[in-house]
Amino acid sequence: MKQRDFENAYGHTWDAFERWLTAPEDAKLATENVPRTYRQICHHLSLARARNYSAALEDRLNRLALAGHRVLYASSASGMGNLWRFFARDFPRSVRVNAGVVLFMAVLFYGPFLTMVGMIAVKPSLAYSVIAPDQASTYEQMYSDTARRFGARDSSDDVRMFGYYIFNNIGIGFYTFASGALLGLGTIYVVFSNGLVIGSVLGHVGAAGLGHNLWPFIVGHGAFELNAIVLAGAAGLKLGFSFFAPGRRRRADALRHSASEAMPLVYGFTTMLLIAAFIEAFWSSTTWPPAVAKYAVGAVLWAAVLGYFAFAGRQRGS
Amino acid sequence: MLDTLELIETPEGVDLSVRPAGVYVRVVAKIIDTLVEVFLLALLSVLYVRLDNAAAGLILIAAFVLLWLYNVIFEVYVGGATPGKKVMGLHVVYTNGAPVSLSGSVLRNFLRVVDVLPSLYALGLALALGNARFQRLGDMAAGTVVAYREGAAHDQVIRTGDGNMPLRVALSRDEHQAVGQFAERAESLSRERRAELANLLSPVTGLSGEDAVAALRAHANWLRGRA
Repeated sequence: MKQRDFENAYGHTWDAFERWLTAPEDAKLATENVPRTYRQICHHLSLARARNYSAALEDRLNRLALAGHRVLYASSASGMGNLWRFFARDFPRSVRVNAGVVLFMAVLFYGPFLTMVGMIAVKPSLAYSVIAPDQASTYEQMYSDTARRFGARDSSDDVRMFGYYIFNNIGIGFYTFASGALLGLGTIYVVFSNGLVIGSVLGHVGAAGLGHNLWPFIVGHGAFELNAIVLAGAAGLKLGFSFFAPGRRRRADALRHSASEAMPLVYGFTTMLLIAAFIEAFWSSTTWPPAVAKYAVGAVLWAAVLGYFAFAGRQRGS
Repeated sequence: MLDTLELIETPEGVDLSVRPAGVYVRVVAKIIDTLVEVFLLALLSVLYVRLDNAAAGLILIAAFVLLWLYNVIFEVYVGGATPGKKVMGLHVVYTNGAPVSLSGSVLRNFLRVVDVLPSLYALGLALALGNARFQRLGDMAAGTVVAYREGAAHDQVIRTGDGNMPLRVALSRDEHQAVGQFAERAESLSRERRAELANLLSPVTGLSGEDAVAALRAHANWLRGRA
């Protein structure tokens, strides 16, 4: 069949398909006929190649088939139903599946964190080996008995601090994750140094005799924020680890595979940091509740977070 | 081997081709996007200084979205392309040709943190140049490629009036295409040049000069099935 006859015979099919791609509502082609027409066009493309039809015709058919391919084989992710399933099942499962990496990161973060808190309690001057003296006094003011709200400069209000926590903390979370692609080194450095610095600041403020303001402040959002840093580190380390231990895959494929496995952790820790920012701005910083209330809420939140990771989504078919 | 054509195998048994975009167009697209981002960021910082506390908090959230999610929002929800890529006729797709989804876009854009190292995207540039699909690290992790958006191509009209003449030799695929494309483009070539090209086929046509050009047009008409 000559190209001219071929175009005359099937041109209207291609036109109809093209119109459906741009405006499905007022196209003559019914949507239920699209897959069949798409397969027909794939067939036409093969014929056009085999029969040496012109490059322009081949281009056009390739373009139509590609557009159809995109419509038919697009990944149908996202949606509210999936969102529920994600938090009820996929996220906690993903934390348990990656328990090894998560625990490693927990040690890497809480290790220096608790070490610094403990050592500074014994020998307060150690804090100055990590934080500068003028910074140290700023932190003391933030938790002083006269502070109108804890953890912030007096002039700032709740919404501003909420914005700041999102900008700063979630940004750090994303950075912690992404820098893992550099052989995991970036992530390890960020998580370790964060543990060191946060531990030193808390240890210093505690040693300055302000623990009665500090610990009730930190305990609530800490359940989400500190563990989110650990998860961000775990997600990042998965990226880097794929380079050293690709298993039976090529390194590029191993990277892609472990990156897609890390994504539930990324969505999860981002949500946790959002919750942490909210708690920190609107609950932790308040000065009116008695410390007992802060400790009680904090205990509930820690139990909830750890219990969620341990038990959520274990049932079959949930 | 030197062509940057990426073939996608489909379940329908036909290979579809996409054309990955090279480093130059992507750098230009990135520069355009950077200008847009800097402009928006400047706007936000002016507002941040002037507004009171609560509104400043919202500005910080907007700045966060701009810095981390500018690319993601455009790539996932606005047709697969940031403004810069749109201007350059590019879009982001998975290596199987499917549109990029949220996870893919998040991965390829967050990993800019590493691709940008040690400065000016040096690592990303080096990786993209060593890769047939021009993927930087973020693209490799996400399984995505920045490709040209397919433009509409139409057969150019072959000048009429030379009739339709059967060709007595069997042509290979490339020869077949060459005859057709010569006939299409003959009008846009200078008289001397098209005669020179047509003379190359004198052994087949038995003619030279403008007569050979006319003969090739007639052959092309016959190959395409035109009167």
